[in-house]
Amino acid sequence: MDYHRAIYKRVEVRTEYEGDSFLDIFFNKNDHWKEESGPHSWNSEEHLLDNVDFNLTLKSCMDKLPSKWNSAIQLKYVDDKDSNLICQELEITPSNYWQVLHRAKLQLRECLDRNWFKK
Amino acid sequence: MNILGLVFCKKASELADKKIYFGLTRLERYQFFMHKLSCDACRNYEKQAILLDKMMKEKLSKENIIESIAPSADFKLRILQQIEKK
Repeated sequence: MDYHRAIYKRVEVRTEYEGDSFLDIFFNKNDHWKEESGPHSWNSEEHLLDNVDFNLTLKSCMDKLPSKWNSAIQLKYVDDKDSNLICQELEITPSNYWQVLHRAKLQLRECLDRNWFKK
Repeated sequence: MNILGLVFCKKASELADKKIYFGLTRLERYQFFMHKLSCDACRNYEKQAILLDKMMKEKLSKENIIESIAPSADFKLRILQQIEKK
């Protein structure tokens, strides 16, 4: 976890991920979901994680995340630590942290949507 | 935020995730609830964000890391099938 903390603190994310332009991928100028990327219902079968192919798809989507975002996810989910505690350890505000998690989720969701649920 | 204090999808999707990790203020809960009433996409986003949260918890929790290193039954079966083919 020290590794992920170090990554989070030190690694820069490419500007196209940090700025407002990233959100423009998903939302139009009226702040609504764009037609193509607006979430449609997922008919999720039970226990998707029991499906080997789904796991591969999920892993591949997670691997595509910038390393800083991946570290934010690892810090949260591996130990299931309280989010406020993580913020204290990283010396960042909750707002900083959930913005990163939110962007990672937007990307992850879109990747799964495109590579699994739409097929 | 518009004149009525309501939010649009961009903000609503942020609130969906903030809710999961930190919880919402009373104002945010109101804004999020009101927006979802008339937005299918954001209702779906919330469900999917929660689902992703569950999946990552399951996938990344410590026990599962150990399991994912050991070959699964499925993987072993595939290997056996490949050996038998030769």
